[in-house]
Amino acid sequence: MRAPGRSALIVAMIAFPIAALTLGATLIRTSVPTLEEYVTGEMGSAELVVHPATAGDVDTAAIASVLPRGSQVVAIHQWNHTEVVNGSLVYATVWETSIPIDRPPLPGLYVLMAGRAPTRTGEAAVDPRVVDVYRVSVGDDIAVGGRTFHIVGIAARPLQMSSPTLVVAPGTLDRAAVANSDDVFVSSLLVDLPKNADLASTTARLAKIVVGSDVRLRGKDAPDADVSLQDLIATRDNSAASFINDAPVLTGVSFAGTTLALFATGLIAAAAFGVGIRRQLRMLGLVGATGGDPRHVRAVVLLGGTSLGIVGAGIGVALGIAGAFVATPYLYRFTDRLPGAVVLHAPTLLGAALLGVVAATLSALWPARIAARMSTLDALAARLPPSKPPGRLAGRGLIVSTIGAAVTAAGMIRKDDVLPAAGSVMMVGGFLVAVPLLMNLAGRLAARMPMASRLAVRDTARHGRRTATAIAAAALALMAPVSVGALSLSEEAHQAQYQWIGKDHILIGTTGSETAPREMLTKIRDALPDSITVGINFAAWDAGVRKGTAGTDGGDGGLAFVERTVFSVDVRGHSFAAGWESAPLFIGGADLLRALHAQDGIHALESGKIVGIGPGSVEAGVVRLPLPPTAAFSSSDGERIEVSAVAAGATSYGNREQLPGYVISKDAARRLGLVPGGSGPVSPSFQTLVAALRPLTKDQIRDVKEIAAAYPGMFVQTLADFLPQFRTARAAATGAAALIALGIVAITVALVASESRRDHAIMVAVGAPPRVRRRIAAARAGLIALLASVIAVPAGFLSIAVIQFSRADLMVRSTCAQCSTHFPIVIPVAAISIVLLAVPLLASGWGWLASRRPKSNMMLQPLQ
Amino acid sequence: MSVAMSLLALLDESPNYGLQLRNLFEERTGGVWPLNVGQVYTTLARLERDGFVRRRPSDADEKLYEMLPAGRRRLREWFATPTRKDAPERDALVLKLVLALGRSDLDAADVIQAERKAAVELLQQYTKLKRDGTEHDLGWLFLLDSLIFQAEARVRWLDMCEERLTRTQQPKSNRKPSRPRERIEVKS
Amino acid sequence: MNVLQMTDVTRIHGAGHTAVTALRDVTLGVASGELVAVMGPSGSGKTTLLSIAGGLDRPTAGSVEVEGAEISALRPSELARLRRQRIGYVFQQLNLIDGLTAAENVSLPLELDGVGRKQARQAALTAMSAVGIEELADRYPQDLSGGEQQRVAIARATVGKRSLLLADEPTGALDSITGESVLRLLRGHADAGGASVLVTHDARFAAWADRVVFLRDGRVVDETNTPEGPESLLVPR
Repeated sequence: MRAPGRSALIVAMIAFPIAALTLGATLIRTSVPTLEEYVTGEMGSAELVVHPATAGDVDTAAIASVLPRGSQVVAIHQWNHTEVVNGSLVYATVWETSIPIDRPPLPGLYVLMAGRAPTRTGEAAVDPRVVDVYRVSVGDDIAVGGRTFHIVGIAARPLQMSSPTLVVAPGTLDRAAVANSDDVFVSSLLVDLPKNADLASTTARLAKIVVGSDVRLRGKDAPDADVSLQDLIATRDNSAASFINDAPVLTGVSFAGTTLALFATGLIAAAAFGVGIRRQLRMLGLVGATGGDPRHVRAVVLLGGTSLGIVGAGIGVALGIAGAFVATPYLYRFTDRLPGAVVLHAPTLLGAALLGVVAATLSALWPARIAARMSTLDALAARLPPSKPPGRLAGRGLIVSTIGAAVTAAGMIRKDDVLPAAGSVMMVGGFLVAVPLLMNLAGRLAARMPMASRLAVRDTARHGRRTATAIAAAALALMAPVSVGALSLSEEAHQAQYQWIGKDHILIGTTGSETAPREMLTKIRDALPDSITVGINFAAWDAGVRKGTAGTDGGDGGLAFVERTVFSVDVRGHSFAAGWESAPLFIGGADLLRALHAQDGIHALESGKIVGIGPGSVEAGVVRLPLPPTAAFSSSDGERIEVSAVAAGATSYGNREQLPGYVISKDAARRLGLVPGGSGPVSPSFQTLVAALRPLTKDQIRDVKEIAAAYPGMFVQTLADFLPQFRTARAAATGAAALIALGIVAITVALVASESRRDHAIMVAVGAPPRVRRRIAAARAGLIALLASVIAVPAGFLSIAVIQFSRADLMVRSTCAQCSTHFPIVIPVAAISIVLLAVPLLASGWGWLASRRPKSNMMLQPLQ
Repeated sequence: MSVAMSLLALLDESPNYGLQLRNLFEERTGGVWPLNVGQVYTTLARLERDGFVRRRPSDADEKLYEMLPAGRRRLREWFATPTRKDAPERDALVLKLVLALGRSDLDAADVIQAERKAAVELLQQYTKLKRDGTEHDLGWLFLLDSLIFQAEARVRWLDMCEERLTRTQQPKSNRKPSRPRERIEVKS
Repeated sequence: MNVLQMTDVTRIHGAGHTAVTALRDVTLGVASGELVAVMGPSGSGKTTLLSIAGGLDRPTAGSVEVEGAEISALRPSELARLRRQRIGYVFQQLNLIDGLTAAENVSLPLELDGVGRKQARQAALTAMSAVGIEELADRYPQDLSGGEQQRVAIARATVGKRSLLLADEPTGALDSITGESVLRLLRGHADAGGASVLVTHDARFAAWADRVVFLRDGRVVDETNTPEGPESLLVPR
C-alpha cells in the first residue's frame, strides 16, 4: 500500500502518544531515587552521620577521641536566612563544610554540577534554585544576608532542593561577623570510618557522647519518648530503612497513563486507517479479484499496519527519550530533588514500543474487516457501504446519558459516594456514543447554512462514525485544561475560604529584627484610610518569673502556647471531640481586637480573660496554657494553667501562627508571668498588622507592595500571598492540550481531505474559486474541533463538579475542625473560552492554510 | 418466409383483402420494406395451398382471405421459436474491405474511414427519425432501433478492423507486381 | 459567431524526448443550437480537447474562444468564473457532491457565484423540471440511480443561462434506454439554443449530434455532415 503521505501521517499519529508515554515514564523513573541514591543523598559515603541535639557547638574533640584511628569527621555548619529577593520572600540555607565538597565523604551528599568546589574562604557553590531566584551564575558575587560570596561552581544536595541553598568553603562563615541574629549551628557531622572498623561498637561509644544527659531516648524504658537514637546517629542501614518507596504510587500512575495512552493511540490510529480507506479497499478488491485468498489479504493489511506501527512506535520512543534528556535538567523544579542520569528502563521502553505496534496492528484490522465483508466488485469500486444512519446504539447512548444525569443528581442530593461517580461516567459515555446521532441531526439542520459550512456539517455527519474517533480523541485531550482549570480554581477558592488571614489584612515583617520604619507605615496608612495599624507581640514566659524553665524558642522562657480541644461535626450534625491543637498566645489591646474584627471581646480582654478569635476557638469558657518545658526534648506532659477565655469575632482565621489567634492583655499577661517578645514559631514572623476594615482591592495591594519595596528588608503579605497559585499548571495544561487537540484535528483534516479530493475536483470543474475550497477545509477543521470542544467542556467540568461534591462529603467526616466543608465549584472561564473559541478558530485557520489545490482535470481522468 | 408469416399475423388480427394486406404491412413497417402486390398474392396462394388460410366467398371481385386453425397454430409456433439466422448474405462492404487489403494503390484505412463516416451519417439520419417521431408506436421504434443497432455494429466492426490494421503489417500481396497504377482516392 | 471556437489548438505534455502530443492543430467550432459529437479511440485526445474547451487545461499553442473571448490567457480565477457562469460540465460518473442534496448540487454554480440561496434553489428547480426530476430535489446522490444522477448533472450543467455544455462520456455508466434519455436531454438543450460538445465512443449516441467529428492521434481526421431530411431513407411510394 504505497501512499507516502498517508503513511507518514499514520506514523506521526502513532509516534505522538507513544512519545508522550515514553517521556512521562522515563521522567518518573529518573526522578525517583534508588535506595542507594537515597542513602548517599542523606550521608554521602560516610558510614555514620550525627545530628546534634543541641544548638550549641559540638565537642568535636570528644567525638574524635572515641573513633578508631584513621576516621575522619566532617562538620557541616548551617545558617538559615530569610530575605526578600527580587520581590519574593526567600528562605535561603547556607552550609559550610569543614572540607571542600569534592573530597570524600561529601560527594553524593553534595553533587557538583558545574564549575569547581569552593576551597578558598569567601567562595561558594550555589544550587540551581539560587541561580533562578538570585539571577546569578558562576563567576558572579552573591550577597546573602549582608555577606558576599564569590560563586565558583554550581552544586546541590540532591534530596534537598525545595529552597535555594549555598555551600561555602571551609572557614567562610566567620560566626562573629554574621550580620543576622540567626545562629550558625552544626547541622550534621559525617563520620568516615576506616575499613575494618566495628560499626556497632563505634556507634555505641558515640552515642554516649552525643546524647546529652538531659535527653530521654526512646527505648524499652521510655517507649513514648520523642527522640530515638536513630534520629541522632544514623547508619547507612537506618537511613535505608526510612526510605519511603514511591514506586507503588508511581506504578499506579504509570498504569493509568498507559491505559489512557493506549486508548488515545487506538482511537487516533483507527482514525488514520479509516480515512484513506478507499484506496486500501481498491487494492484489497484487486487482490481478491485476481484470486487472492482473503486470509492472505488480511495478512497483507495487518503486515502493513504492523510495519507502520513499528516505525511509528520506534520514532515515538526515540522522541520520548530525546525529550527526557532535554527535560531532565529542569526536573528539580517539580520534584525538589536533583535527578541523576536519565534512567532508561528497557522494559518500559519496550512496553511503550509494543503498545504502539499493537495499537497500529489492531486498527489496521478495520479496513481488512470491512473489505472481507464487501463483495470484490464493491471493493474495487471502493463503494463503501453508505454510513447507516446512526442506529439504535446512538439512541441508546442518549438514553444512558439521561439516566446518568439523573443518577448523578440523585447521588449528589443524597451525598452518596458511588452514585455521582457512576452517574457521571454514564453521562459522558452515553453522550459520546450518541454523538453520531447528534451529528446526523446537525446535518439535517445544515440546509440553512452557507455552502462551506453546510458541506462541512453534512460530510462530518455522513462520515460520523469515522470522524467520531478523531473527535473523541481530541475531546479527551481538551478535557484536560477544563478539568485542571476547574479543579485548580476550585481549590484556590476553597483555600480562600479558610480565610487564612483576613481579606483586609496586611502583615508587615522584616528579615531583620527592626520594626517597620514609621515613614513606611505612614505611607501605608495614607494609602488605606480608616485602617488600623497595630503591633504584633508574641507572649513569652519570663524566665525570671518562672524559675527553672528552659526555652528553645525565642524569649527567655520560650513562647507561650494555648491548647484547645478541637471539635468536629459529623454527618448528622453532632459535634465530637476530634483532637487538640496548640497556638501561640499574643499580647495586645483593644486595637488588636478591632483589627481582628473581634471587638466584641474587648470587654472580656480588659477584664483579664484570654480572647480567642473566631467562633469555636474557646470551648467551655476555658483555655489551657502548658507551662514551658524544663528540659529539651521532654514530652508534653507538663503542668498546665487554666485561664478563662471567651471567643469573639465572627471569623476564625486559619493562620494562628503568624496572625494572633489568642490575645491576652498586657496586665493579665504580667500577672501570669508573660512578657512580650520573641519571634514566632514559624518563620517569618510579622511585627505589624494593618487592617483596612474593607476587603483589599488588587490596586491597593499593589500600592502597598510598592511602598514596601522602597524599604529594603521589608516585606508585606496579604491573603493572596498565602493562597496556592496554580496558574502555571493551568497554563501548561491548556497549552499542551490545545497543541495535542490541534495536532489531532490537523491530521484528521489532512486525511479527510484525501477522501474529499473528488468533491474538490467537482468544485473546480463547476468553477469554484480557490477561496471556497479553503473555506470548506477551514469549516471542516473548525467543526471537528468545535465538536470536540463541546464534548470536552461539560465532560471535564462535570467530572470536577462530582469530585468536589465527594470531597465535601468526605471532609464532613474528617477530623479537621478548621477545614471547610464547602467545596466551591468554580467555572474555569479562561480554559473554557480557549477550548471553545480559540481551538476551533485555530483549527479553522490551519484548515484554511493547509488546503491544497487538486489537479484541475482530475474529473476527466480515470479515478485513482 | 418472413413475408408469409407477417401476412399470417396480419390476417390473425382480421380477415382482409390482398391489397389491404399490402398497405397494412407497409404502414406497420414504415415503408422501409415495400412489397409489391404480386408478391403478396403469390404468398397468399402459397399459404392457401399449405392450408393456413382460405379465401372467403364475398360479394366483391377482390378475394377476402381469412385464417384457419392450422394457420393460427403455425403462427403461434413462429412466435414461439427464435429466429435463426441462416448463412450470412454476401455483404458488399465486407467484400470491399477484404479485397482492399494488400493493394498498393489504396490505403485500406481510408476505405474504413469513408465507410465509417457513411455509417455514422446513416445513423444520424435514423436517429433524427427517432427523435422527430414521437407519435409512432412501439413496433416502429423496434424497427428503427434494429436499423440503428445494425449500423452501430457496423461502425464498431470498422473500429475493430482499423485497430487490427494498425497493429499488424498489411499482408504482402502475392500477385505479380503489375505496372504502377494510379492511386485511388477514396471519397468521403 | 461560434459559442466555442478552437483554432489550431495543440497540446503537448512534458518536454524533450518524453513529450506526448495530446492534440495537434485541432480546429473545432460549435455554434449555438448545435450538438457536436467527438468520437475516437482511447488516447485520441478527446478528454484533452474537452479539458481545454472548458478552461481546465491550457493549450500549448492555438486559440480557444468562448463566446468570442480568448480564454487561453485567462487567470485561473477568471476561468473559474467562466465555468461558474457560462459553461457546464457533465462527466461519466460521480458528478455529484455527496454532502449536498440534488437541488443543492444543481444550484452549486449559482451559489458559488454569490446568488442567494432561495433564488438559486428556484433556478435549480426550474432546471430540474426541464429534465423531469423536480421531485428528486431534496434527495441525496446516494439515494439516486445512475440515470437520475446523470440527469441531476445535466440540470446542473444547464442551470441558469449557460451557453456551453461539455459532456464526457455521459452515458458510459448507463444502460441503453437510460443513455438514450440522457441524449434526448442533450438534444433538447441544443434545440433550445444551447451549444454542446459530446465526447463519446458510442456511435449510437454520437448519432444524436448535428455533426460528428472523428479524432485520431490528436488530429481531426474527418467530420460527418449535418444530416438532411430523413425522408431520403425511405423508398418513395
